[in-house]
Amino acid sequence: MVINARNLVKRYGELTALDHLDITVEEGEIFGLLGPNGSGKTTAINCILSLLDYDEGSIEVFGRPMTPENYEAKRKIGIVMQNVAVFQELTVYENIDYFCGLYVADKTLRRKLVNEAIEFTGLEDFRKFRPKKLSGGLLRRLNIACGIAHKPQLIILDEPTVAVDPQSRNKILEGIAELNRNGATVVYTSHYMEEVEQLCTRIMILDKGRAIATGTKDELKAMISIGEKVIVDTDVPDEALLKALGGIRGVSSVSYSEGAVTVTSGRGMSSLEAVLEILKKSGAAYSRIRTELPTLNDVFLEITGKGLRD
Amino acid sequence: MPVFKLCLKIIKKNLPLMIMYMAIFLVVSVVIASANKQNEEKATVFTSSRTAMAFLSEEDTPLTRGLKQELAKVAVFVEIENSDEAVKDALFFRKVFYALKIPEGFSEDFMSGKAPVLETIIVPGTIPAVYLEMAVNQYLNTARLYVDSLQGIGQAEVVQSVAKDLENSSVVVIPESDGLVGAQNFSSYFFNYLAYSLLSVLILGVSSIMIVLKDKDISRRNHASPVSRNSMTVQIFMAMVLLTLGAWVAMTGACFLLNIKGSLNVNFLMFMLNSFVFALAGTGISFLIASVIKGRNALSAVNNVVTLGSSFLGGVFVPQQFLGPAVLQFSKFLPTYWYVKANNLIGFLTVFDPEHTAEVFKSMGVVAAFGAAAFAASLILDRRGRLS
Amino acid sequence: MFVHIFKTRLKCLLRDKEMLFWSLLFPVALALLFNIAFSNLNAHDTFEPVKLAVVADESYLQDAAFRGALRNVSTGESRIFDLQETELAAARTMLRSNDISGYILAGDVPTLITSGTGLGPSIAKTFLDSYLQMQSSVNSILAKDPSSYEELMDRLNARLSYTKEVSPGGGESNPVLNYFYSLIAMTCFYGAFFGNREVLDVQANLSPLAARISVSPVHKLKSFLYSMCASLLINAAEVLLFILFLAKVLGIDFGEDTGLVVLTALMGSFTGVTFGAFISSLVKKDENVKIGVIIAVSMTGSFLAGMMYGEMKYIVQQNVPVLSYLNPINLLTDAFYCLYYYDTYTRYAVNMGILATFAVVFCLGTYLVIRRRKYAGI
Repeated sequence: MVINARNLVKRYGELTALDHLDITVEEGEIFGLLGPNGSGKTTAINCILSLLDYDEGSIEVFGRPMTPENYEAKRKIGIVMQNVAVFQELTVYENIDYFCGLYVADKTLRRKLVNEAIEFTGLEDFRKFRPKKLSGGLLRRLNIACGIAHKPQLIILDEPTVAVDPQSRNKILEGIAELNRNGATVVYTSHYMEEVEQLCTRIMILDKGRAIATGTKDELKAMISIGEKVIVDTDVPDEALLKALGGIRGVSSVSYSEGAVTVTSGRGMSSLEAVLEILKKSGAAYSRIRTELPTLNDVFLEITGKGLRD
Repeated sequence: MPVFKLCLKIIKKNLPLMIMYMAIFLVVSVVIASANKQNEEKATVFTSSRTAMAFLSEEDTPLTRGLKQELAKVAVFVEIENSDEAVKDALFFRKVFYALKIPEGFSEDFMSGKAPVLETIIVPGTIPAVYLEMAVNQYLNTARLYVDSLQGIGQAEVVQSVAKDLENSSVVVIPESDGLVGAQNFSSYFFNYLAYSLLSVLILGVSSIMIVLKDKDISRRNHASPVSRNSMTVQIFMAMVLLTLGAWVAMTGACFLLNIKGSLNVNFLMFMLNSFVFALAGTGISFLIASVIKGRNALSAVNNVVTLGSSFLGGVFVPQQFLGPAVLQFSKFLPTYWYVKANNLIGFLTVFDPEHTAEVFKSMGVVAAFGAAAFAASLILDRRGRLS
Repeated sequence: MFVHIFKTRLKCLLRDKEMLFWSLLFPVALALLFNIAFSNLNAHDTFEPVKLAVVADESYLQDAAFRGALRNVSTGESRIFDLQETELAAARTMLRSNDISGYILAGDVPTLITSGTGLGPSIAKTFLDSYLQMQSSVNSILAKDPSSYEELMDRLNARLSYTKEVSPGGGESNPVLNYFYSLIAMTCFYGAFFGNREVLDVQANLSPLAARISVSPVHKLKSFLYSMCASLLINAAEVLLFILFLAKVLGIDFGEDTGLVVLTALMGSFTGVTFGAFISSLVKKDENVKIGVIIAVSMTGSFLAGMMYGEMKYIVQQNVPVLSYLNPINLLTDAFYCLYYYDTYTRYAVNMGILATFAVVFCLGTYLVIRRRKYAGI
């Protein structure tokens, strides 16, 4: 077990930021912490890193209790913080070299590592740039390079893609997957469910400091009652049509909003064929039909009664 | 007025800091003004206060006793050890401002017609010590007249005659007048030091607002909004003027309250007007500085150079009459110079007709022109900034 | 690890050009301005004759001796008065519009009519008193020996100076020097900005950068000390450069003990930088407030040490002596002055001792705050 946190409780006065939280991360996995803003993701990470005091619980990293003095563990961890933390006065190369130097003393080895990190994050053309001159996406990439240059066994990334353009985001996600393939265990926090879904092998959904569900994405989706959705773009439908759609076997709900009728089936059921048949029979005009499988947002919605991005 | 409102919010957030600055600089002004006023009073013969001195005599004769008695009119004697170290310490700590050493055999030499010299040690720049020095010389020169003119006269007789002579004094009449009397008015000093304090508070205050506004992202967003750049600058400037008004009211108000008796006259109104013009000019200057300097730490260095520098050269800390003509020529390029000049003139005004006040208003005009120029310069710089 | 952190920190500080430029330029610029402003103060050639009028009435025109004495001190290069002999009405008008300091009415006892009690009227009164006293002497001498009249008149004009100003061992007392010494002290305390930044960059609850460094496998205090060394080096170099400028370019006198001057500068710089770290650790508000407190404390300290108004130092010493020992900027200023003024070292040692105590307190206070490695909130 790489991380074994038991029964974590962290309170800020009245507010309970972590509420008896257990987190275990196994070697080799990409562990996702998913939750809306303020759900306790960063607090959990900061506790694991021994930056934050916690009120109850215990944390072990690489099998040893985690304390600020546990340099052996710290040496194996690479951290990419939510806020970009680099020196404004240093160039891209110097920044990476500085942080890498806190872990690796040997200069020759370090030069190799820094160059690899630059290549890995695609910052080759910006070696001599100061952070001020970098775009948001490049800055995030620099932030990542500073965290991973020393080839850590455990990489913790706290919302590394906030405010990043889609291109950079894809590059970052691909990079993380590659780090994992090269043997690193990854802890990844985000409030973008698509990212977590795409990247993580195991996911924990956090809300108000509690783990409300943990598992692979299929396991999570299997937990909830809804199945496939059929979405039909159409003009305002008449009552009869909606009623007919609602009558399809296995359909749990039918709703209309903003030019689209959504037909939601129960778990494991499909209604596409039946929907098509009814539409054809009623002669209603529609422009497009598509189906959607349940997302982690649906999981979150069903458990908490609210959306992830509320 | 969205930008104006934003500025007010920033001011509100920084209020404790600004009140702290204001309180400190206010105290600085008050302390210097009262200390200076006391000093100025000491610098005249009309004062009843006597200067601390050390009378280090190695002999005790009628002549030295007579001299000591005469000096007692203008000095208080402080007993200190007659050694270099002790004298130096006493002068250093201002326990005494003047030390007079009378060597063994002085009286004998003096009576025999020689001209023995007494060693004195003075805290430099102490005007009261000059009066002590004059008193010693006046006493001995008068005694000398008797010794030289009347052969065989005894010490006791000389001392007696001199004491009688030195009792003579002239009459001084100070007629009442409608304005302030002389420069030694508290307000006059206070308003001079205001040139330092007010400018410091303004630069610190204005720049802490500008640092927030100039934050790259905020300034971009501001400039992307449908508010024209000029209107934005004007709005920011209006907020600064409001800040200035607050600081000005607080500081001049404090002066009024501290010295109500000395403030109920036309001079005080003129002081107020003059400082108001200076305060507005100060806003323009602070605005210009804040738009040129970017770093927060660098700003306080610039603030020091501008406020302290202009105060020293403009005659706030060192009176204008003590600055050399070449320096004054240069000082004319500083608004502080004109502000202090106007203050000094106002301090002496007793008649308020155009003939006497013309010079004052001319100086105020120059200060106002400096302010306008600074504001215009920051507008131009702002436009340049947009192009590049 | 020391070299790695120290070197990087040095690089960062040296690249903050604006800060570097101003923190060195501001004392130099101020020293130049001080120098200009004081250039005339020590050269006692600024005495302006007092503008005075005398009413040319009957008694004035008849009193030849008084007229002679008054005219005597109102002519020539080193005259005391710029004298005008006028009508009473004209004298009144001139006094009202401040064209003269006062006017004299002659008589048995001359009268001075003046608008105030400033320096000008004081000089006029001293002259009148001295004239009356001399007149009294002449009368009483002539009463005893009328034959001595001729000689007496000669003697009257041959006034001697019986005093000579001397200075005891060490440097001569020179209040202007205090302005420059306090400026050095302020430059030292400008190092507080460096100290402040060091704490901001090591306390994980103050900046993301500090949080990032905290999770690296380097002991927090060590990394703080290493990078503090860079700040101390830069500030000390700035202060020493500034002193070099004062001594070599402006010719400011520092006494004989160059070694001790350097030691004092290093001590001051150390106290200044640690002061900033101390304030930054102590004040639990945002950076704005921290810097505000640093500015406020150092300006107040400089003011009390006599940087704006030289007398201030002595006012404090006389009225609230404790305050002069509790003000590190004053201690530093005083230490420099002692090196110049005294040829003994007691007072210097006292200053340096208290200053060292301050430095220890600053270090200890900073240590107590930053030794904490886990935070209640970030």
